Amino acid sequence: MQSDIGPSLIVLGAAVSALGLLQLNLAPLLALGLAAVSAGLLATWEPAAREKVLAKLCEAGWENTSALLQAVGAPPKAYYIPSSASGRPVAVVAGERPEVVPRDALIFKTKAGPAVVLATPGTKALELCGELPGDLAEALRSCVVNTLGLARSVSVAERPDGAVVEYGGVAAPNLYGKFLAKSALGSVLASITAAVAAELWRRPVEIADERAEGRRLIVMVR
Amino acid sequence: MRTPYMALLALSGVAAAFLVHLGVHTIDIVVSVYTLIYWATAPFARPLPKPVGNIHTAIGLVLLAAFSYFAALRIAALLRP
Repeated sequence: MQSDIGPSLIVLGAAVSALGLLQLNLAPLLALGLAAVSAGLLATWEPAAREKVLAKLCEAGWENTSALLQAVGAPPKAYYIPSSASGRPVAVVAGERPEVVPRDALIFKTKAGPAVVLATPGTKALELCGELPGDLAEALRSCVVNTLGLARSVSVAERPDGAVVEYGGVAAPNLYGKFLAKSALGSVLASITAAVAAELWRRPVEIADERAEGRRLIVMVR
Repeated sequence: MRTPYMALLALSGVAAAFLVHLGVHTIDIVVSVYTLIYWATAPFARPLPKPVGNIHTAIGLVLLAAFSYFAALRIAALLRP
């Protein structure tokens, strides 16, 4: 709705301006038409421009996270842990699926080497979305589509070992650039999908694959 | 939508209604009044990130150019013997 206001104002303003120019006794309407067009132009581009600036500024955090992962020597593979296991929804970047995650730990050791506990876009999305329905498709529709507005539609095909989630009309920002954090945590939507799935299934979840096709995104979690 | 844009729309609407009430039919007065309103609300709309700030300035400059043209025509008419 918010993104439709700008284009609507431009169309309305153009129509009112044309009326003001063509109908001589209504020439003052040109002022209103020009105001609608200029307000529409600014309202169309301003949110996207601000979002771009904020995403760029936040890249510093992901650059540091990527450096930390490299320094620790953890492989770029994240396991999303539900809040029931770790106190809050987090991702653990480790060489193998962690059996136990120590509460409030930032880094801990596993048999396969060091593991790093990270808050992810999925963590923050769960904070924003609050209580979720028990079904994965319903939960993702409620959170990703209705609350966050990051995709226009979502469909879920559940499998014995996980689920294939397909998003349509994706409008999620790229938070990580090309940093290592992206290959570890997955894209923003994949991260949210995995975090929501982990919360609902109450077990660690990993992103098996993700594939973007235009404005469609397919995420496989297991 | 942000308050300065809504103020721009509201002030332009009020100005348009007042000019219709006065029976103004010439485009130059309308454009000049709108240019004044636009630049009066401009400081409240800023700061704007770069591409949008450039669009905002460009619209303002086009309006100023139109205002200058209409003003020049009026002054030329006065100076003409």
